[in-house]
Amino acid sequence: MTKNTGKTGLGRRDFLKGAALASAGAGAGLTVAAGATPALAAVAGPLSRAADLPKPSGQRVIVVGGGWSGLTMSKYLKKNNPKFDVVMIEPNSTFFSCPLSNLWLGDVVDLDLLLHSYTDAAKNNGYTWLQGMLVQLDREKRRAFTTAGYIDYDYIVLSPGIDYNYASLGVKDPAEAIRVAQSYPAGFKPGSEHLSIKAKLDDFEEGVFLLNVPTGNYRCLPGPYERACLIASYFKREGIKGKVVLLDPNEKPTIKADGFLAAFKELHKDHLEYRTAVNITGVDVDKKKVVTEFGEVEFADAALYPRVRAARIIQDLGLADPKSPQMEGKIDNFKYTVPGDDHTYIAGDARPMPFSKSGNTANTEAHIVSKMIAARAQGKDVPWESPNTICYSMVDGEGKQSIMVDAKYKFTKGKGWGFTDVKLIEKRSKQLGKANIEWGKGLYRDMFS
Amino acid sequence: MTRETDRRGFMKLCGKTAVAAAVAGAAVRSATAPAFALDNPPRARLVTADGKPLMASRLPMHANWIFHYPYESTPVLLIRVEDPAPAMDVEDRDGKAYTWPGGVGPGGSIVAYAAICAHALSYDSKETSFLNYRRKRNEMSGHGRVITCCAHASVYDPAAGARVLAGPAKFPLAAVLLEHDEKTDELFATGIAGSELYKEFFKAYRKDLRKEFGRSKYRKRVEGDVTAMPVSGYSEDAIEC
Repeated sequence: MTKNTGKTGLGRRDFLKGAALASAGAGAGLTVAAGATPALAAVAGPLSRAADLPKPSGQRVIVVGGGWSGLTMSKYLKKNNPKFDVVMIEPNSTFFSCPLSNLWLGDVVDLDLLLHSYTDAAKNNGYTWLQGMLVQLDREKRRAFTTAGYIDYDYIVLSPGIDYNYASLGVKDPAEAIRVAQSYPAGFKPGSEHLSIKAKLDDFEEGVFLLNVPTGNYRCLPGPYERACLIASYFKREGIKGKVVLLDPNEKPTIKADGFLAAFKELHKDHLEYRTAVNITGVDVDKKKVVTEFGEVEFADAALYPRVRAARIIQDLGLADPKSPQMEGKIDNFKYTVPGDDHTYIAGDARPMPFSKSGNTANTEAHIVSKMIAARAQGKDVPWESPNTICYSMVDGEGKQSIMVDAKYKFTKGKGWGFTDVKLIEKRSKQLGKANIEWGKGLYRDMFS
Repeated sequence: MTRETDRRGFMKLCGKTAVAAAVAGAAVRSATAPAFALDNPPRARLVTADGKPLMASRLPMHANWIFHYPYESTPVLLIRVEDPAPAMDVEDRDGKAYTWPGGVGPGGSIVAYAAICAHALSYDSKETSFLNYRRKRNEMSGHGRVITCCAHASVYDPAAGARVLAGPAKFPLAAVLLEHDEKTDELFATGIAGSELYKEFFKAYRKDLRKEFGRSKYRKRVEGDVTAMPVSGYSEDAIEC
């Protein structure tokens, strides 16, 4: 979440005033007691101690983040250079998959398909998982400060993923942003957001369930459309007198348009209303409505998806490209290194290249970047390769039918990045539905076993 | 009858140009030893569902068949390609070269590979077969006459040791070594070459395999005859993509 100061900041200032008085008092007390009581450090915590890790067994590589990028990166750094001592830092205790989560929201698969163990991933692949978060980085000394202590490193890969920008929904007041996030979570950063949405669907009895498509390059391009289809299937199956309203700032779906439009029309017309060229400019939590340029839309419940940005830590570390509207990392697009520093890499959804922010992209990219880092550590270079975006979308929760696209990327001077080798199957089928689920299972195997 | 005599038989029989024979011969001579990936592999005769020996010459052109070898639960694709599939060198998961000995039987056109994807272990089960050989050009890969794994679009060339043509797989499917008895026209599976993935396979699917094949039987090596049949008759869904 972004910008969580503001109103709470006033409270903080009041508190700090009070704390200053208290510490002045404590100072006076110390003067009196000098020599009898050891002085207390004014600031204490894990930033001043080393993490509880053994001495590195080889060059140490830190991977920040245990999503699709970080998990693949950690495993294949070790595979590509068994001498690396790899430490993955991830604050969550359990992996909750965002890919395939729409299938769980639509009651097509069980939750256990999405949940995986960081402990097993690390054990099976010879790296260390440290449960914590990166908070500071000294790139000159190559020391990373985490909530679990500091770690000295040879290379660091930042794969922190995304945060949300609620101002994009016209919600600029930080306190209001928190209310919107808690009342109508987006459901694109798993898993509490997803658990909330699932509970909403379980409780839903009638009316409009509102979804939206954000602007910009958001995580999982087909995600909102697939979710709309699967919730519509669920309403139909359960006999719920409700419909999904999907608001899209675009003229048509951003990906697999024909496949989605066919499903909307042929399968979901009673339970799904798709409105195009609509931008949300405000949210009224109490009155349960959103404001658009074309008037207000009331809803019984909602999951509102703001524009995404690179995780805030990228900006905090001074590694964001100031020109990037989504505050993505500034890196050499073909080497993944930050300017002038061959020891710091940024990958996954925080990357600046306009690749699809998807699990498959992050996974295939991490295969390549891990190879680059392993080569770099031996003074070698490996050429850039395109990541691969294989992306299935289930459009029918009853018949379990999916559509798919498979694409790579190429850079053309003067034109920039574009898709290449695109294969699109927009005719939905049960077979692609099976392949859809197996796609996820295969990549969980790639990351965890 | 050994594979070598069979290959010699094939060369005589099909009488392709001397150039073709020389090329194939050169490939055999230059090749490193086959990487037999399994100690003491079982020798299994292929039979049809009625228990009668599968006659190599009766295997239809562009067959996409399945049998299980070397374990009761490990699927193998049995394919008949249109043109002779000569021996060639391919690289295993560590980049080490090994010899794929080529096709056997009529025209050297019958080949077999583990139906366990070298990328992320998707496989052919009774419920769904993700790896299939098809003659027609498929939408996902844009190739025809290839084995495609429809889970992540890895594409393998069955006429060339299952080398990777496209997709995320990094090394060929493990090859199942075949022997053709010219006198009886019978086919035998005799070993595995290349990167076998059985350990990973059992680990990933233990629960499913126990259910389908029996608690301990799933990792038992096959003995005697093994049944081969079209994938479409074995799997509820032979995935096309």
